[in-house]
Amino acid sequence: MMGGATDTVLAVEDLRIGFPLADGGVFNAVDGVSLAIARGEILGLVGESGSGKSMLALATMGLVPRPGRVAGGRIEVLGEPVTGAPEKRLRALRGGRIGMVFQDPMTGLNPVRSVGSILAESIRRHQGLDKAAALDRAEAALKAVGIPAPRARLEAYPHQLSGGLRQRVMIALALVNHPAVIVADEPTTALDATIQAQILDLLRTRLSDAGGLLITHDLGVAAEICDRIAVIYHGRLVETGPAAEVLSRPVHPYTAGLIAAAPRFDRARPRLNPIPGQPPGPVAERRGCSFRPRCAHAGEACGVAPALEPVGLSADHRAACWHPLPAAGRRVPA
Amino acid sequence: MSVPPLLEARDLSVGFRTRGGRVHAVDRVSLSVGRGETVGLVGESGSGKSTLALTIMRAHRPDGGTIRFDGRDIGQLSPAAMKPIRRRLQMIFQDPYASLDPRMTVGRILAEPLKAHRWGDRTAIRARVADLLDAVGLPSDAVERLPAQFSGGQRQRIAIARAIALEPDMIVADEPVSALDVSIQAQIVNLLRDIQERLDNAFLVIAHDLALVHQIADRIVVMYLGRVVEEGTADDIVERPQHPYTVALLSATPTPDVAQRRQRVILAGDPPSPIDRPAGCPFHPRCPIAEDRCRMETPDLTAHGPGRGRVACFFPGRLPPPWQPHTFGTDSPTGTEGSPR
Repeated sequence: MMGGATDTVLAVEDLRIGFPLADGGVFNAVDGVSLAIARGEILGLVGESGSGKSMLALATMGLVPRPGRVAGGRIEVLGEPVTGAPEKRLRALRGGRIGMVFQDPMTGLNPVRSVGSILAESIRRHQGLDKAAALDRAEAALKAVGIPAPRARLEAYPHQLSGGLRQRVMIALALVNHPAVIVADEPTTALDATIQAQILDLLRTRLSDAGGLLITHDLGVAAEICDRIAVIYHGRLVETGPAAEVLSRPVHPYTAGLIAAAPRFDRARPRLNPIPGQPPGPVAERRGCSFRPRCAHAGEACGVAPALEPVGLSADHRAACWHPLPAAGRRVPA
Repeated sequence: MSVPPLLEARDLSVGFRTRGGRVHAVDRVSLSVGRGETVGLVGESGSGKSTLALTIMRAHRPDGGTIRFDGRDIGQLSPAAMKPIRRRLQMIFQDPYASLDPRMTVGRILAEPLKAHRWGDRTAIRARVADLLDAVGLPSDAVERLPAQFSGGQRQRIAIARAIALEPDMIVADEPVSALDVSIQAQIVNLLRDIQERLDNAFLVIAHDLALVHQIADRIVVMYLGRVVEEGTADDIVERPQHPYTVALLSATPTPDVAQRRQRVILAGDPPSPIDRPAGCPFHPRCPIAEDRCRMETPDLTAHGPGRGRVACFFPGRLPPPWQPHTFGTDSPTGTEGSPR
């Protein structure tokens, strides 16, 4: 699955992102993660707070915040290394081959520049067009993401737009230079449900040329638009596979627990099925599977970290677990 | 059913002064919560749901209408006259980081309401604090620690312990779990249920997540732009939604059940602002089935059938629910595989 395929737009291999701890040790917020995204595919990276999912997203853009640093492995976009690339090259990649969408569009949109000038500047930098041509492209980009009266909106400043429109502008900006991959970190988390549905629909229809990495805490959001899902816990992937299969036949107890804990419309009320305990915090030394203290299936074997291995379903459905949920009669625990 | 509800708001309006004149964030809303009942109040930003909650708590004074709590109108009571009511009517907020004083130990946070309402002497209060920590699943040594030493889920447990300290008859919870991770959300939802089983208190739960509200509420009230657009039992709202906005919300709420792929009802545009309220039905500019009448007249909230809920729409039930009628027929935990679509 890694590397080989020619249509891989984003490859992450054995990535480790380390943060120094007060006691002198190093915590790997991302600890040996590998994944690949093909052209036209959306991969959902699902995890809770502190799982390392946002750190991985930042690393794909060469934006790991200090004092964190990439301590091992590599990231490539269209075969070109991002890890270790000089800042000048990274600036060309961001907004060029890599489009970015953040949870809060105000993070990605300069508040003192008009929407038109933000878009035109990016178009001129990456495509070398003159100002008039760039503004025409900008207008087309706004139109393509469903913004009404796009010419007039070029004059608007980000704060004059609603949250939903701002996120549309952010997506227009992410797409405008025909990126190979879009990295979207919780793009709809701050939005109302009906606006979230609009934005997910937009991502679903507009990302078809590029690959997409969707970072989310919400399995429901991933279920809406992702082709594949990767579940991350304490910096490590615990399960990856086709979205429909991971959601209907989860193999890792953590994935099954997340699905069971989420509220849904077709289940008897009134109680939910929580995962007991809490996610672990930063530690210098890991012993075995990080989910072990919260896992009902944990045994002695779990003292050694399991590798991500095929689970006997789809070829690319893999899980890191010594006690995977059984293949026969496997179901979502209710 | 002749027992009056514990809380009954009637024709409640709450406005704010703006440069453009007075704006009604809550516009003639009627709502009731029975003893021991859980009512879920859902809506998006600007729907007025949080303003309504804060008005029921009397953080705002209503412009019009009444709020009856246990038969007494508390809408215009002075803060001093509200004090005995507060003992029976408590609130939990979304952000457990902001709602707890960071300089106070958990012991003091929990003892404060007990002292204010003269629960008992020092020994009685200390014992009560220990009981409260136990009831919300926190260790007894938490009394000496500060809120910052706890995770988000644990802080919400502290806030819940404070809210139940005086054994209130009713708790208003504004987005009580939306700041928490999914696995922790479920723990807190179950804790609230445990508490209700013990205290038999009523809950008014305000949330944006319709799936969550369906999971915990007996009845659901849907708000849009300051008004109630639909109200009914939790099952009726989800299985037989009448208002097109409810249908759109059901369609737009992502849940991780793939086999039950829904029909997508994607609304155009943004929710309007109360400052710029559309004429006629407030939902008509985004409504997929609006007709001329909806642009001119405002529908009242009326019962749509005997024993059924109420809906404010000229064409109730015309927009079908986003799922097949059989979706809820089977009560099987394996329903995610091969369920009808």
